[in-house]
Amino acid sequence: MRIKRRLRNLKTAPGMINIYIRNILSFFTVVLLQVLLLDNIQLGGYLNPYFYVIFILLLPFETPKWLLIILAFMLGLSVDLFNGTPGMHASASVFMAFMRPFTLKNFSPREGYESGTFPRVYYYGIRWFAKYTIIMILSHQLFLFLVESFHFSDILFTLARVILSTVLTSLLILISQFFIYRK
Amino acid sequence: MRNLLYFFLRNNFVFLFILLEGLSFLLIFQYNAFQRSAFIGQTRNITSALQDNFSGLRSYFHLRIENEVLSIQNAQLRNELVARGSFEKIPGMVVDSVSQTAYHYIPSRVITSSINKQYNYLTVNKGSNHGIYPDMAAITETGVVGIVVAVSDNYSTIIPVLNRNFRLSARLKKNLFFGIVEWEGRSPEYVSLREIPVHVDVQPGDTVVTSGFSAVFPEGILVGTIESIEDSGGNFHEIKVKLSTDYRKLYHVNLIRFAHKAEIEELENRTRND
Repeated sequence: MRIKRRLRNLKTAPGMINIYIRNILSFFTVVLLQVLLLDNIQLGGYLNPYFYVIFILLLPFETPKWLLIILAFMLGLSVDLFNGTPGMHASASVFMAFMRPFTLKNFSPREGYESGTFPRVYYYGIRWFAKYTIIMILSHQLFLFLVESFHFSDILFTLARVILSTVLTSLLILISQFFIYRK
Repeated sequence: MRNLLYFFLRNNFVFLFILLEGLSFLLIFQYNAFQRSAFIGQTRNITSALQDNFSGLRSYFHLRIENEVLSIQNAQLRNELVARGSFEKIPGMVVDSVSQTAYHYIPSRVITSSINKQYNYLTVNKGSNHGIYPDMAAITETGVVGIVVAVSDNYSTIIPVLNRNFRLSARLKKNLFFGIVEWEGRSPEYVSLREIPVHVDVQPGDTVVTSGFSAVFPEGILVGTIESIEDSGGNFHEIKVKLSTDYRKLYHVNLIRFAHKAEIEELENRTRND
């Protein structure tokens, strides 16, 4: 019943050209939001929400894998250039993009993903989205913080940062689903 | 080639991932001082450990040259010791009665040797070009080896203790009684010491050294230690001596040139002729 209603809504969903434009705009929006606003938030001196990865999360299911990973690289590199940490966010984002097809496949509903739908709460529910988001964010944060600390001596401290940061970023992204990316 | 291309195309996702990660890490190490220093530190740890092990392995290949250098150095040091007349200060070393160099050591390397025949010979890589002449003594750090019997330009043959034609004048270190060392032609580890009178107190473990009675061997070069004594009722002990030199492992041999050899021999000949 719910799916039928949503499928009806698809007819009013933006067309293909529109998707490109939306995503290009989304790319610049998240980068600017990240570097201008969120990078200035340092909770407890360590925690920094990395909201920009939502761009990779919300790309359409049909996005080709090679495009996905190149977009992730460009996204990470853009954030890096503003942060003065070339390569760090890029490598984490590329890793995250690499994980995305496997994660999606793992959490796919029995019927598979409907064409024309997007990986959002609106289409697949909060439970699915939360699982998907947490796994993806965790892979990103784990990679990022390991590259940042670059040794395994303070592994517990690094893991604590990873978990806290994952919770924070995931919460932000979940909340955004209800306010910004409603559809 | 086409299959390779297909392989890359089929796995483009994985290869793109590896490529972009590689690019990212290149950027990280290029522009982030901390990560670069950590990376360099880590790799240096690994490479230096590797190099350490590898050089440990490689050093075995240089052991021969190292040994040669060391043995040359050893001979030079011995020469210097003799020249300084300070040999008597070192126990078990040659006592030089004259305060000038009486013995000169020439290091050499064994080329061929045998221990399993009755009449064994050694060949070393020094000859008349290096100042070797017949009747020079050959020793190692562990004791006597033999006597030079034949010399060519670059090589010389040594008759070792392990030859049934070999006779060596030797004495007990503790009480100066001397006898003759001979090889029975059996084990390469043992020789027999003859002509030690039965009244002489001999115990297993006693040290046997060269007597220095011939002009060949310096006095006091180690021959071996007494293994067992058998008395069969004759006038002399039957003494079995364990050689201090292991002839199976012979590699570096020092040849000894005795400066006063000609003088002594000439003197001896004169006495004999009279």
